[in-house]
Amino acid sequence: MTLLPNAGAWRGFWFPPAPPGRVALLRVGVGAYVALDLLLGRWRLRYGDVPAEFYDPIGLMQVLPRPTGLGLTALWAALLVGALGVTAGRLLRVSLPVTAALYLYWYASWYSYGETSNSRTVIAVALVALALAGTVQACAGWVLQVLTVLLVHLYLFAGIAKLAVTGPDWWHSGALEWGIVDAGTHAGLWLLTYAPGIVPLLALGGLVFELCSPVLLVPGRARLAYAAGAVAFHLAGFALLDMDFLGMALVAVLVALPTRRRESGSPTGRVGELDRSGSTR
Amino acid sequence: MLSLVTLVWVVALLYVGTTRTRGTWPVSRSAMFSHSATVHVEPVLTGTTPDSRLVALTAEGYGLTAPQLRNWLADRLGGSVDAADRPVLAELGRLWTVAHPAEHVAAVVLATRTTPLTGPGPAVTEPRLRWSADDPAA
Repeated sequence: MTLLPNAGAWRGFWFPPAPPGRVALLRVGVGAYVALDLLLGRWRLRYGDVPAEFYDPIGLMQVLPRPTGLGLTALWAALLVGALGVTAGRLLRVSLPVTAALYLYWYASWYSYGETSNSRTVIAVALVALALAGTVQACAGWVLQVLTVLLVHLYLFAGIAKLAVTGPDWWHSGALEWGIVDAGTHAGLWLLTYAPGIVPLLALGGLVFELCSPVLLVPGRARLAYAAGAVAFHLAGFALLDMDFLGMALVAVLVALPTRRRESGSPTGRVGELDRSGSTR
Repeated sequence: MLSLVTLVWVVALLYVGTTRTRGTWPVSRSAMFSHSATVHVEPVLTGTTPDSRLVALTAEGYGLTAPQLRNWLADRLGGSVDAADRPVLAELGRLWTVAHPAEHVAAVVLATRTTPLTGPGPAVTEPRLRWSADDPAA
């Protein structure tokens, strides 16, 4: 975009070179996640029968119809077919934009029942970015960079919000303990009962993890280490708080994988490492 | 074209990130667990049938999750509960009866269960507001 004062730097940041195979791997991972999310989330079909009094539409849902009854089931089925198409790489010019639009609609309608979550934000944006990039190879790096920036944003602002609302003492302010009492799993409640001193330490670890998210913008081993941290962070959240942010962990890993051989830290590469064409060797 | 989309999206991310905006999905940020707390307070709804049977009016019974029902209540009741909020309980009673015709609800009590987050103290449940079809103002 030549209107920008430093178009070269802008393009260099947002459109880095990346092997198309990396985006294909991302597409397969995201498509499979969406399909699994729908199959495991079939219970959301009951919202077709929830009284309209509980429905408070967010954003565009104020002008779009509320899916109910058979309409909700049809939406779920169409989305599942689309997700399977995305995973299999079939009819991508159609399956990607349709799946992206339906996924946004599916979750916007569910979030309109009073609880908005970030748990699917990264997956939704991944679908939109993949659809916008289409099959243009030059845009492969853009997709990965958009998701990297989104992850940095979500983690960083989550950490900043804790510091802004509660302050530097947040980690031992009772916030995580509140979460465990509110929605904790048996493991979380056990931990709070029998080892309460560990809970603030876990909160501190989580806060440090969130505030360090700009590391994802630095190519190399630090980014890979951060992605591993994301997996641990979200697995802990799932185990203790029954919070399913595993899609974020999946995308963090997929964007942090080396895009060039030198990023792995090994000049000769390793068996199984992705090369520039995206194939393994 | 993608550069323009990116620019708009980044501006939206920064706007949402620096304001406490809700309901902006999929451009959003997480403020989850930001607040300090010494206790956990949970609303508890109990209905009474005409034959004096007690019915727990659970979020699941309405087809919702617990946070969804809690947010719905918070949006309608605000920070404090008083007699002017009885129509909210009347509506909850009516919606329960529609969803569970065999459990006609003629009265609803809203209580809060307060659980201390530190120390072994027991949870305390206190009634806050009552609505009855027989005497809606009581």
